[in-house]
Amino acid sequence: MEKDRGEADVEIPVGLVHPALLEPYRPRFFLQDEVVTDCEITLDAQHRGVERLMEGIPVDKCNIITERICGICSCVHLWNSVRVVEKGLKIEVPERAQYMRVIINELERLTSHLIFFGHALEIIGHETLGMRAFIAREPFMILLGELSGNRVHYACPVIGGIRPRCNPTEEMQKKALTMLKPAAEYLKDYADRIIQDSMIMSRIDGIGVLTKEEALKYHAVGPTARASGVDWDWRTEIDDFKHFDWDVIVLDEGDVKSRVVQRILECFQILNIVEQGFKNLPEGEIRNKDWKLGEMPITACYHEAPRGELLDTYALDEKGNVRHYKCRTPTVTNLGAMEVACLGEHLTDAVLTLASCDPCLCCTNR
Amino acid sequence: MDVINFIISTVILAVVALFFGPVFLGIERKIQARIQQRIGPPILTPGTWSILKFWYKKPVMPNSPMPKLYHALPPATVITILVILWLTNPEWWGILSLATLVAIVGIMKFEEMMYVVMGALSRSILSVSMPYGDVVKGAVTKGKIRRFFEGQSAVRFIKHITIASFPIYIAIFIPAVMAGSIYVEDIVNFQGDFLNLDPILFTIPGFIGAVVYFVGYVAQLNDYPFTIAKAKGDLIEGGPLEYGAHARGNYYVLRGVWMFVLSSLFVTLFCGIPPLVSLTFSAPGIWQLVMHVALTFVLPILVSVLSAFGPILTFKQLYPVSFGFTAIGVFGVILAL
Repeated sequence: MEKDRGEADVEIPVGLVHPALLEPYRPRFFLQDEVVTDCEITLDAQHRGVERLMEGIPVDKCNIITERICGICSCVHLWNSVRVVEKGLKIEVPERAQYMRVIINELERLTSHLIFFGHALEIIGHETLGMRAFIAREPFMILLGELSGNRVHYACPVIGGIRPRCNPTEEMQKKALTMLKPAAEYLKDYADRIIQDSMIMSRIDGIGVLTKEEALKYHAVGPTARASGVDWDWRTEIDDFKHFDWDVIVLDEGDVKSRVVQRILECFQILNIVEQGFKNLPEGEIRNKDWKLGEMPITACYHEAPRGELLDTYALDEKGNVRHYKCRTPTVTNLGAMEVACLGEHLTDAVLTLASCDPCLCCTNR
Repeated sequence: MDVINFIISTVILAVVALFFGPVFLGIERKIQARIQQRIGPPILTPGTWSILKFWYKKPVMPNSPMPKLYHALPPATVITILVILWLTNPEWWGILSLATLVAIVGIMKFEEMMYVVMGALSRSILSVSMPYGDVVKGAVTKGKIRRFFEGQSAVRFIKHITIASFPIYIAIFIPAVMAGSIYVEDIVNFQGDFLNLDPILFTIPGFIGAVVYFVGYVAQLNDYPFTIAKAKGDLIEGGPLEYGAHARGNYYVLRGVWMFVLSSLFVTLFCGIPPLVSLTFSAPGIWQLVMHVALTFVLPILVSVLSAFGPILTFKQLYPVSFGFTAIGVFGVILAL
């Protein structure tokens, strides 16, 4: 049954500047007593005009700029933008490069999920576990830095492969596996601690429920949708991931607890993928240079960003310059679902519910 | 001579509270930081030095319908809550028979109501008055009132006063039931003199009362997990949001002194050691005051540990927790009878 957007006595607008909003957006909560009967989210306070910036520039420059769309999921933006050209011009990518793209991307997803835990627990009020999320995250950030030379903007994929600095030596592979083990153990302890804390569970169990029907109707994507029983992950459609044995995590409850637990379980799938990647990393070339830029019709590519479905689409003119660039980030499609998930909740839980959908306004406003 | 003793003890107790209260803020932050595997600030920084720093900052006008009253609330409340401390001082016991638990509870109610007034008088820019064009054609228009965070905080404080205050009040009266009197003097005398103490804390009803008092203490401080009235997740910090410069310094003093006073009340009622100011070095002399102050550190330290591991309880959890501990308190009262 669809939730009722009922009448309200009081309106409380939140932000743009607010500690619970990591980035500027404006939720307006309409309340009866303290219960949210309607919610409206307004965006675009930090629009940067990235799409307009792409118009007419060479595609390799465009790819670098796409990485700057976000600081948390920079790799997936770059990778998906590169995939558009590779798909449009039918450029083959060597297997070793595919592996490294996946490894960097999955480590980035892991760090993104750990930021989510930090943020969600901070809003719940459990600062200690919020801080520990960042302690758990740090080894993976260090690993990303060692693998790519950067902790945030890795600039790993290029057209036809990856950059040479992201090509690990055998020694680095062994070191990475050694670094992963204690980090994974800490993460496991941390996840157990969250799940076994009855006070935390009492705050998130049954809160902010988004049913499967609502998730489908409002086109929720990513972990938000998968925690509501929608069995869909774009990684299953991407060839690079077919080298790996992993599962899509789907939970049915659709509440804040599900969204937290879904990400926790997804973290272990990520660790599984990364471990497989380092163990089975094939020898060979890291970049295919046998291609030529030229005219390309409008081509679209989807990818699974840490927060959900990412769409990049553009065309190339005869000089290889970008035309009609468009990027749709997961939060755009999650917004409707976020508004609905808040309905019927206490105001404090409504803010938590919004955060549990893990919005990224930096990507969304572009 | 009695008048001089009265004045000296009154002043010394105020100085002790004003000094150690802010130190508690630092201890709380330091313990939480260590639990969170951070180094944390030096102990005197969050309370003492911050307050001095805020006092020397350029004054700012709060966004409030009554800015002077809004600024006057913390100092007025500090003076009011110091009366609780003074009422537990033996020098004050003879004055108009005021040193009773009823008077103390009345003053505690004033402190609680002050937050409601504070919330009603603050209008920060972070919600309604943010210059952002969201009420436009096509936007949702519902709700007769556009409310500031602080207004919502005032509403929550009223609920909080109604619900979350029960444990501390029921706990305060357990020593009274055991001593058969609401006079602080009788409760202290019931536990023997300083050198021959038999504290209520070490009896079964007394221990139950102490546990319930501790829960009530956390609720009175609006500290985690009882911080729904100024939940950072939505209301940021509620009524005190507009305090800046010297007013924020005053607010920190208020918070520190309130920690000290409630802790001191616990030591007086449950340990039988009132804050006696006697400037002789013989027993009990100055040692009673030293012991009293040392014991006041216990509750803030326990609060720091609890706060580091407690998420904010919404009213859904707050009702059963508060009523549960109130029921335990009632059981303690029955045992005390």
